[in-house]
Amino acid sequence: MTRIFYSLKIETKLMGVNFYIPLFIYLAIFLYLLVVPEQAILVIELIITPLSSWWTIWYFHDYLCRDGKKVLVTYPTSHLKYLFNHFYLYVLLYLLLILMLNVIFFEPVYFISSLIQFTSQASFFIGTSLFFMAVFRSVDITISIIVFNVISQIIDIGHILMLYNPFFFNQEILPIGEVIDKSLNNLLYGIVAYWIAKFLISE
Amino acid sequence: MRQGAKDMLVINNVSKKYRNKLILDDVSLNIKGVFGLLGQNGAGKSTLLNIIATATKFSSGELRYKDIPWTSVEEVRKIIGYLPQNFSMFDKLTVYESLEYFSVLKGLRYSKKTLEEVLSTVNLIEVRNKKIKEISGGMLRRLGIGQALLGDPEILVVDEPTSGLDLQERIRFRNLLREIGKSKIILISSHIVEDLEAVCNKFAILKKGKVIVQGTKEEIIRSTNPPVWDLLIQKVDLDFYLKKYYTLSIFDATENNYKLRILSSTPPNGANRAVATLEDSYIFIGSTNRGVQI
Repeated sequence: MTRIFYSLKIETKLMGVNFYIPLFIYLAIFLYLLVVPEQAILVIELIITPLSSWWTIWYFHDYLCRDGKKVLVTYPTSHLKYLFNHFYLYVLLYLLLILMLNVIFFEPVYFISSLIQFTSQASFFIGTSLFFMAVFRSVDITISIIVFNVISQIIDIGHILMLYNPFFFNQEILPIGEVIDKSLNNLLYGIVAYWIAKFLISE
Repeated sequence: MRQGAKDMLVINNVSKKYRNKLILDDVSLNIKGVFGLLGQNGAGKSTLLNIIATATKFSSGELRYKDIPWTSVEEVRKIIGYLPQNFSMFDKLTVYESLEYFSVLKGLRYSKKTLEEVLSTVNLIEVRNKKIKEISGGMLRRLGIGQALLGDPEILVVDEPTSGLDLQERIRFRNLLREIGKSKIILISSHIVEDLEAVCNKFAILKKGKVIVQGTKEEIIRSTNPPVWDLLIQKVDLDFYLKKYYTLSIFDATENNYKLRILSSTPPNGANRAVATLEDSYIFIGSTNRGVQI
């Protein structure tokens, strides 16, 4: 346990200010939503869920964009297992942050539906951002692709560009029956992208 | 740990094919002490080191150390420390923190004392609290050796350790490797002959994936017998000689004369046979079949 805390401390240090950026944005949005709670769905969907890619990108930055992999593959222990096990902790932490917003801003009757919507979207962004990092080994390119995808979907509400649209653009919480299909798609895309990325990283 | 006579890294007929291209061709070496691998870019040095460090698989042949065959990758990784040509990681950590983190990633039990011992060995104890991004290239290479030394490996594999370093740092690095080499097998690749000469007791010269020659410095010079000549010329004739001969070096001998060191299979007029060096042998091997008139 001590070693896990030590490693998390080091990994957080390695991410530097990039570890705190999502937390600051989260806090700012949280305070904003306390004032304007009626915008919670859109704001969480369009800002909080894409923001989940930030930690993914910066967590893998040092490993994928620096010359260290060649050393680590010769180590007796599996550094990839170590790397991914700790990555799951960051994913879990982010999903908990989303859960917290759900608990605070949505009535219990809609809780499951909103949670399915937002966690599946976050999974989509985590998986795809890891995929683009594995392919391009570049923070700039990955962030640009994610930002471009989000902005293009906001501008044309997913109608003109042929990119996959993970958003619902709903103003009110939808019944589970209406979110489940797309959420499963989001989750599936996220998981497939994650596994392809994991394969590429281990090669 | 002091090595005995049988503690030898044995490489038998190792070949490596990549996309139908033979990168290493039937390489056999017996490595003990501090061993230098010489070869031009693309000769296969890094591939061989990667194979020894288990970062790359070999296509055929056999490697073993004591009773450990290279097919037992996990066992091999416990006795190998590796510093690749490009090494840079964990910019935001201090020197001490990064070494500690490498220990964690290596799955080692470590203490502050063991980490400080490694830092002392690589002469980085003074900068232990400096961030990686603030240290020099030479210090970063020494940190690379530090991470390779974690876990007290029996074999150290170092790829082009001095490339890009200034002279002072190169000398410091040579001394460090010489010291470590007293108790470990070290395999160093380089194309800077001077650096290897200063540290290694045996050498091999690779060319196009093949071992052309191996042995001590004297054995290599004797077997390659590079035709090196000293020639005193008029300064005004320099262009002529540079065009005609493979000139290794030019010294300003007198006000009107240069002394040339020439590699040539036929002795130039008035030249005296010079005492050959390891570098001459290396250049001689490298320049044959390259369209160079020797």
